[in-house]
Amino acid sequence: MSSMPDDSLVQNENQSIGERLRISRESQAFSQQAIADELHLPVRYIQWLEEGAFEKLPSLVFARGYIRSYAKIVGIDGALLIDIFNQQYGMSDKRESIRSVSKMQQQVKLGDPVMRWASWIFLIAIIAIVGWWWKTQYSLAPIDEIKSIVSSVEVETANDNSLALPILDDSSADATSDAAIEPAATDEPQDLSDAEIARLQSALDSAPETEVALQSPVESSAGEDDATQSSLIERLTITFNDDCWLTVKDADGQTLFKNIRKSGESLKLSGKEPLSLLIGRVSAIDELSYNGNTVDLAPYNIKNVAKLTLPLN
Amino acid sequence: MFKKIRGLFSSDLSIDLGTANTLIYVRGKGIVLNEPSVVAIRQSGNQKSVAAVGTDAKRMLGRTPGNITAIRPMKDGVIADFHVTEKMLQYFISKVHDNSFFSPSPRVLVCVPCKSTQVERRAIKESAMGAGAREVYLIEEPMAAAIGAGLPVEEANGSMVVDIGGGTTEIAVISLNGIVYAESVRIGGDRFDEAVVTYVRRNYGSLIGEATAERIKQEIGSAYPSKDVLEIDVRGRNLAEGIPRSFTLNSNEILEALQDPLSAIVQSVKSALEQCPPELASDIAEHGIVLTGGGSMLRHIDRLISEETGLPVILAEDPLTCVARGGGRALELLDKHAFELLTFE
Repeated sequence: MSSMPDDSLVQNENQSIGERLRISRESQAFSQQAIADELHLPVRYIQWLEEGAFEKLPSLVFARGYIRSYAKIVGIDGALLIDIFNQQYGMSDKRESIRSVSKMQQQVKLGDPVMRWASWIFLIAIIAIVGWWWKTQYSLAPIDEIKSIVSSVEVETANDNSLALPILDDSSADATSDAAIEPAATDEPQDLSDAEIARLQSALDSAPETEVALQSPVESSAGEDDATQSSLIERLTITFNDDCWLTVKDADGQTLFKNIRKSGESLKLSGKEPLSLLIGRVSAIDELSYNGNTVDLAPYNIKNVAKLTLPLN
Repeated sequence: MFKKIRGLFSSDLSIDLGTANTLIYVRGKGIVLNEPSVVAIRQSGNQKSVAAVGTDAKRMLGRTPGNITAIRPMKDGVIADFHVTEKMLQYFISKVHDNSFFSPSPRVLVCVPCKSTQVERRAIKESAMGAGAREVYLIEEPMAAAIGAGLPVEEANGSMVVDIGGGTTEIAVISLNGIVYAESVRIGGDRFDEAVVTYVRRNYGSLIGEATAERIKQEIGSAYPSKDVLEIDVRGRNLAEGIPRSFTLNSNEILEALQDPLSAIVQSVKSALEQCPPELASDIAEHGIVLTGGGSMLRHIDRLISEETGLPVILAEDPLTCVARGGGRALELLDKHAFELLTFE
């Protein structure tokens, strides 16, 4: 009996695992039932093991375990059998990876790279759209308009050289500030002033409406405004603390002023009532007075743009 | 941000932070580290420094001079000494990374006992973080053990796994990638050693160290009576004489010594079977119970559980590394559906 396991090992280099187990079992006069009882396994499992029908067993992991336990009982080297088994069926580690239990469609997780990229692209798109909208809303439109305004102004000044009258008072204190900002506009009148003063003085004596204009001490203005045309006594004074674009039209719909004023400048206008104003940048207006009364722009201020008619009613 | 860059130079790790041994599985490489969870601390004045970690430190256990203490920072499967555990992990993580230019910052999967408390899990998570991990995931030990043993965990089929570790024994019934029933008893290899020490002291009046007890257990320890009786010569300090004496132990004596812890394990296996839903219990009765963990290498322990429960019991392939390998398999699924396997407490 003791020699039988050795014999079986010697004779069976090419014997299968099941045969080896069977031979060892029979050599020790065990029945299949006895082995099954010992291992607490169904007899059919022992049959399958001996037949080599391992695929009928629950899984290869269990097959390995059963072979090892069986070998231990009949007293042969289980590790050797497992080696043979692994050669036939592959190592345990080469099993396919664990599958998910959920049979439903997998939800996309936030950490998913696809999801992350998609959200980045979405975010960038949103920012781009907002930026584009902002540009079109606030900066592009005014620039376009200003361009057209500037060209129209140039035409106007070229057409009539009515610079003389408003320039008359440039010798007053305010002229210095104007001179700093718009030297081209003020240099010319400076030269003119001495020669023209006497002539203008006499002209003003005869013209009552221009006399009124002269009475105001701080009539400083660039050449563009058509102040000469105004024959009415209404007065509009605006002082600026920053660059501001504005349009002023009189009752006839005639444009009195349509341009940009720079910081520190002021604008004085008179025209036929009612005057309609469109101010492009309310925050740049230091003070707006009409007939000496300060006008509060706050009620008209819509997104820093104000549209109003004077006098207020 | 910098951690992310360093992460590019680090590989994902699965760590079986056991009471007795720490194993590290590196994604794509397999198990690269298997060392005892022991740290030797040298104290000079108020300064404490790590003298040795792992195998070197284990050799020092019980043999240290006054200024060195060899510590096992894990006890009963959980952290007993937070800072030392952190140091140990740090050492192991840097050891498995060859790159010395960047300090590694890997994603780490750590196994935790299934009945550990939130505080204990948090401690494990934080010590791994402190050791330089970029992200820490936790997986319950029996789940990792079952995956590592190659059980069909994803099938609608009950599998029972008994993982006998150094500090704890984890018993779990698993089906559909989840744990149906789990029990953890704080009995394991360490308790076996203690039982041997106690037995020798009581019956031979001699003191032996834990290292000797472990050697006795490994060489002649048995969980079930068998025909062949093994013997071993050991030396211990005789308590009465105070002199080292040599004596011989045999496997039946060790069997007797181990009765208490073994019966506790058998009892919890039985109670797990009692608590198990009937369908799963019948699956288990059909296939059998799978033993993993270093404790299952005790001779005839499968036989003991099989006889006590009347069910087939099989030993997993390479039981020591089952948990680490299972963790590694879960790690490879980390980006896909590992959330089914992980625990988020």
